[in-house]
Amino acid sequence: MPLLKHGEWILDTWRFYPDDQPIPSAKPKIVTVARLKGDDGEFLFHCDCQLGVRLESHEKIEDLEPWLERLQLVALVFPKFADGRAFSSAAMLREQYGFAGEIRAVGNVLVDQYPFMRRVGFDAFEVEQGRALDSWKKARIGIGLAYQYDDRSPDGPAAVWRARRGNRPLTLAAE
Amino acid sequence: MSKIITANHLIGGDVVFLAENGWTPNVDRASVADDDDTLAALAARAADAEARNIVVGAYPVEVRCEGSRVVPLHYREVMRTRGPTVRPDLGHQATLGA
Amino acid sequence: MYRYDEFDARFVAERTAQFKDQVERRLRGELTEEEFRPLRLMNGLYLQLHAYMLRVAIPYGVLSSRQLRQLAMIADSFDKGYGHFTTRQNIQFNWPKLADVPSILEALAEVEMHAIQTSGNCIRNVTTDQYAGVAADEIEDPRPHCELLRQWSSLHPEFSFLPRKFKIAVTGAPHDRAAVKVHDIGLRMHRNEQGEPGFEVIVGGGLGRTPMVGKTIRGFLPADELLPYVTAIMRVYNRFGRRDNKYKARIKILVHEIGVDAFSELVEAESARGDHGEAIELAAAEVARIEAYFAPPAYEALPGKDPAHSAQLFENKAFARWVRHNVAPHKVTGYSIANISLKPVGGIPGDATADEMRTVAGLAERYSFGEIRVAHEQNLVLPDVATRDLYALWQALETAGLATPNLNLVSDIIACPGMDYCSLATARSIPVAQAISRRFADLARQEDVGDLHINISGCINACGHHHVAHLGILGLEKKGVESYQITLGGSADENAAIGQLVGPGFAADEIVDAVEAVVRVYLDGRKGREERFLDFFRRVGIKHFKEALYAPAQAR
Repeated sequence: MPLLKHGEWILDTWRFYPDDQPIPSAKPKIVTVARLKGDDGEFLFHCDCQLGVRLESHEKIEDLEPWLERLQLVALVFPKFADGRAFSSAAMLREQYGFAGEIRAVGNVLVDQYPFMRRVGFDAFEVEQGRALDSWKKARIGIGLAYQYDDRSPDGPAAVWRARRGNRPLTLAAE
Repeated sequence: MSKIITANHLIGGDVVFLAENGWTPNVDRASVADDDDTLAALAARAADAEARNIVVGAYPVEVRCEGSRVVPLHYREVMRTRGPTVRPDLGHQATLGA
Repeated sequence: MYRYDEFDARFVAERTAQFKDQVERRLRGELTEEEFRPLRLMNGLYLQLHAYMLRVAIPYGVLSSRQLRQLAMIADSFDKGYGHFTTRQNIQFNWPKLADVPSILEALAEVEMHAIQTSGNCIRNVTTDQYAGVAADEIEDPRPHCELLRQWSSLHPEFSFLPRKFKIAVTGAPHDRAAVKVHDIGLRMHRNEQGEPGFEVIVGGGLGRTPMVGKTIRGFLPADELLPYVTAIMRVYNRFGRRDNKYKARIKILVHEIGVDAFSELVEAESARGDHGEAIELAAAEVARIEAYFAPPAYEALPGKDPAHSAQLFENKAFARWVRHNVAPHKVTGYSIANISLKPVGGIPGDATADEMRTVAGLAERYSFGEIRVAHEQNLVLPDVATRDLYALWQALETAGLATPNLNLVSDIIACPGMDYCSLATARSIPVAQAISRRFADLARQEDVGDLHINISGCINACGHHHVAHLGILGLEKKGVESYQITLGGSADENAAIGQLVGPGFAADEIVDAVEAVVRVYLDGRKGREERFLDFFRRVGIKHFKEALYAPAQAR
């Protein structure tokens, strides 16, 4: 599946292992929360590998807390594009838990949601085959201005309230 | 059970009905299906029109035929053929006449 | 009123360009209708019964004459010469063509208007008291914080895909004209004992299928903590609001299901997380900047009584009647608030022709510093009229057919568009409003009846707010025909209450008689004219009304 990261299409080095599949020791792997909490949890915590978790939209970020320092990636699922829970999960990961790893959007996402996702802290996007990949690149910035003061995307929209106060010079996001 | 297909014109938004030669604002010209096969054929044409971005939101409507008139059974669908009852100067009732 | 700076203007311009691109992609077939639908909804464009419908935002109900003229131009050039003012202080155009919508949005952007977030599962127009800033009973002007919330909620990245729509209302007066208790979040501005400004925060109010009065979760929230606190509420809702059932997805269901205490704890816990220092500082600076736009206009120093005005009241009964009902007290001596009724006898509630809009725009320029308000009761307001000018204003309104003196009377009916326009409706609402209005056309009779708020909804979604009417009418379908249920005793103000269903519905040709029967019970049983309908209902209850409406035919 094509992976969009930092505005470019890259090869995905991660792989998701559903609960019924055995997990390899060395490769970067994404597993479910259930697996982290289950019998494999101990092994996964200590193994020398890149580890990511896949969170369904009804699962809570708080449940990941004991693991966050260990994780390099959190994948947040959008079962339908209208299910906006992952936006809050991403925002909380960055804002409250200070998570600095990759936050990846998987599932049903609309290209028009892309700027919103970047702004709450997503930095990678799995996009279904057959989607107009061009339009994803074009949609990256969205509107060059944002009123909300928490902006977590690098070269994201200029924060209007900060600009009004002159705290930061106004550099509008690149077109 | 007689049925017709209705939809809204994508660009204009106005109510239209599937007729023999395309889409018409005049319900009396709608193609009426009296059996499942005919209805399926109409539905297929409608789906094709939606895919080609001519109309949106196509669905079947139960009607009865009264002479040359095609009359939907439900009052909501009757209203769709005419326009707002409180503005007789607007909608198909005005452009097509009573 | 607020004026866009370069940032606001650019924001709307880019949003308009973005939507234009989305429309073009749709027309080229690059977007399916399923993909386009949430996008067009976020720009206020619905597909309704006969046509598209564009809902234009009128932030907290404030309009300039220039804006109102532009709305008139849009009505003439792109629509069918009229618009409809809604129960959330917005305006709707009923006949735009999809291909014209980008041009309409550009015309709106020219006058600092837009249709952003007037639809969809996002934060909608923040509404307030139509007398904000000028009401004699006002404690705090709610408009600066409405503007703050408007900006903050615009294309909020975290809260644009909520379980359902989200509506916020703010009041700054003890008498609540903004219906804050039946909104998802209601905010009542007031001061604490130290004289500091803040908000009572009320959540989980709402109408629709499951009407509920909101619950207070914070008696006093310091004003500068508003945004972090509202963010916490939104985050709790976004995370835990139901997404399995569209009819159980509003925040009121969440509050009801987990209980207000549990909900409140979640919000307090969420708002305690993280450091809000910078956010509070930024918001405070922004409020201070916004407040400058709401400085009072150049009021003249006028005497409390104007002899010419007093004489005209005495000499002209029609003028006196209009003043009695349509004019409200202003906080500045020598000024008045003038209401313009959009409920002429037999008219369509809330509709205004392009000519009427232009007339009102001109009168606002002449008599009200160029400002107009839109009330959720679907009337217009000129907020700053010198009392000495009321007579000239009234004469001009009379000439234009805009002087119906019926505010709060039985013919001042609130009605949703209903099945004449709306694809969700189960019955028509406007013809019922028109019929009631005609039945009670006689003004002397209306005055005798006094304050009686009738609201009509054409379906269970209750966009006509019938649940909080003194006499609410809900239009349903029963056995293939329209059927109208009556509720009684609702109230939208600080003593908010949900109306009680009287009994089975009435046919379209019975409902007006039923309304008359309700009025007769009141007139027969009230202590006197001083006992308003609502007070009478609260005293005697529903029993006599049930008997009058459903007794055997001969007893009627």
